[in-house]
Amino acid sequence: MDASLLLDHYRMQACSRQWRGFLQAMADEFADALPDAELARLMARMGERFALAHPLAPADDLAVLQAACNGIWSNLDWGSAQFSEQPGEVTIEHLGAPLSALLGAGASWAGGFLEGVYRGWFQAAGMLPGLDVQHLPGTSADVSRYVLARVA
Amino acid sequence: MSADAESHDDVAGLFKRLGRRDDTRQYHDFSATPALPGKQTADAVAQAAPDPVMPPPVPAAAAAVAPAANRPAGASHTASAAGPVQVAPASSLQVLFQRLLEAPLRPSAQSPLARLRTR
Repeated sequence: MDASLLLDHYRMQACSRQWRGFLQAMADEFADALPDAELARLMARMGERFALAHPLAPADDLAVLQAACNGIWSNLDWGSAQFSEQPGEVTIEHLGAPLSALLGAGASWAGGFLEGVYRGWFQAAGMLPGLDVQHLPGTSADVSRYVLARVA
Repeated sequence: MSADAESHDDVAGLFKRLGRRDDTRQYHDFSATPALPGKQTADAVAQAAPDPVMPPPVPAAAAAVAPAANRPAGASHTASAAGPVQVAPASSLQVLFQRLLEAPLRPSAQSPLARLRTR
């Protein structure tokens, strides 16, 4: 069996069969109605709403914050996150998000959702004005990448 | 019916009200904002329902000093006798945020999404 077909099979299992058709139809309708940039912004707002509804436990360092995030994702079967501090930025890699797995890498705007979630969580953790979380374009349906860095 | 009242009934009016906000980057949850009868303006909405955003972060040093500033005058002697006010060290997360803020601006910082937000 082709390995990519096998991977597609497992990606599909990441999203409940109950919601696949609905989410795919909603995504198609969104994509027809709005440009990608506006869709990404809409998804980011949804993500910020999600972050407000799922507050993290207090964290005083990046590792604790990552663990708190993964506590939420684990409970929801939404994959996992890895934070990595680099010079001048923190990269965030989110592995196995079901939305990305279902919609595929072509729906890059869907990455706006996790951008909004991480923005909300970092803001709650004291992120200073002038910093922001941004989605980095990628080609993988399995890993979404974000960067926390200075934007102004 | 006044112009303001009309503006509450259509999509154009909604965007007009959104456009009056000083900072449209922040998410605003309208679900908790009751419908406003009569002539109440969008400015009144903004005053009545502040954004549910987090307050600006307070530096650890300021947070540690703040209780001393609120101490009753009679307690100042005791405090000075106990020595200088202890300043809590900034957490490593706060230090990280400060370090990121002092880093050079990334060339790709102005993503399409960021540009859209600044319009």
